[in-house]
Amino acid sequence: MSDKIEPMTLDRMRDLIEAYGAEPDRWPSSERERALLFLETSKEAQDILAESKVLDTALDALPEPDMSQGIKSRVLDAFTPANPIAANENVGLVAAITQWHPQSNGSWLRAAAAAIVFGVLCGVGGAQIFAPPSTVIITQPALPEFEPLIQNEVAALTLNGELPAILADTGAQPEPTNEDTEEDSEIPLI
Amino acid sequence: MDGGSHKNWPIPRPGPIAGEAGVSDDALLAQIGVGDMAAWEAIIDRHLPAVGRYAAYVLGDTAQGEDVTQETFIRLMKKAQTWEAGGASLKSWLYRVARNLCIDHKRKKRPEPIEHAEHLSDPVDGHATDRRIDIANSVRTALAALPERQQTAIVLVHYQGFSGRETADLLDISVEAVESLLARARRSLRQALQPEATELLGEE
Repeated sequence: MSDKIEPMTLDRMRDLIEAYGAEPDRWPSSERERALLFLETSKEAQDILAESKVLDTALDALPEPDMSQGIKSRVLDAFTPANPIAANENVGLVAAITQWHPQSNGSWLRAAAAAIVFGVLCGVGGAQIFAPPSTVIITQPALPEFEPLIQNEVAALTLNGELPAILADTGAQPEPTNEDTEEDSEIPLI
Repeated sequence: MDGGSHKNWPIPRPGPIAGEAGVSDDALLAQIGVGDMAAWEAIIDRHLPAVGRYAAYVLGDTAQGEDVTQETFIRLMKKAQTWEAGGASLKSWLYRVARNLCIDHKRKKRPEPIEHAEHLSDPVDGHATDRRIDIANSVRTALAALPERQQTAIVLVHYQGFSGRETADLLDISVEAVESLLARARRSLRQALQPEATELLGEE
């Protein structure tokens, strides 16, 4: 190894003191020893150091901030351990629930979700799925006071995607009548 | 501490490493990421006091410094789960966050003057106590008047014991640029504090 160590100069000594002040502990460790040696023999460097010490003394008049005991407690109390929902707002519901419950691996939740979706599909569209073409659904008689509504509105539902007016605008209900009909309403599927 | 507020959370098994002095910050953060309260406390004990002092020096107000410190550590708590070991040092990360929060804070609030400071009081001479408080306020005012980077450099090097290299890393500049910042800051401070400095030297 032939690394040559540059000797300390007055210019570099001045730069060090003007930047880091008069306290050698603040000087770069790689230059500290050489700077101290240079200081012993340089009156100019000693004067620069003495001038810098004036400012250091003034800066040291500012007391060290006295942190309250409460700050540690406040930060400790802010800890919400194992809170992946808050930590990752993009997780899905199933993932969020399973992560929140450490014993869960998510498989039972996925199975439950699939069962719910299957059940809803069967309940809503089962008749369409399993009924043969041209079959009609025979509805049960409604209560007398609602029968006119059903006859005029709901019974007209042809499952073509149109929302019956009675559902679209519930504020415009027709006056009930006393007509007593036992006829079944027929709703063609197609 | 009162751990009652956490009793409804699943209690993770404390890692065997938490609280041990030789454990790295990265290892503690990994434990925090899985909810280890002991690791959280170890990180707080290791870094909170220094970050708190830094924020208080920069803001010139201990209470505001504590607010910034609390926010800094809350951000760390959220960051712990995605912390990448071997990347940036935690110390550097904390000071970067605290520095940015201090900048935001200074835009909004002005520091309150020091009115009571037990550590500045002279039990014999009340006048001397008042004078020391005045000088402390002058130093604080002079620090607050510095440009932000000069102020940060002075606080880190003079009050926090950072090396030039550490300060350069934090500010994303060269060591030479840090020394330039420090020299300009000290020139400004010397001008602003000359009367106080001379008076303090006379007391010695």
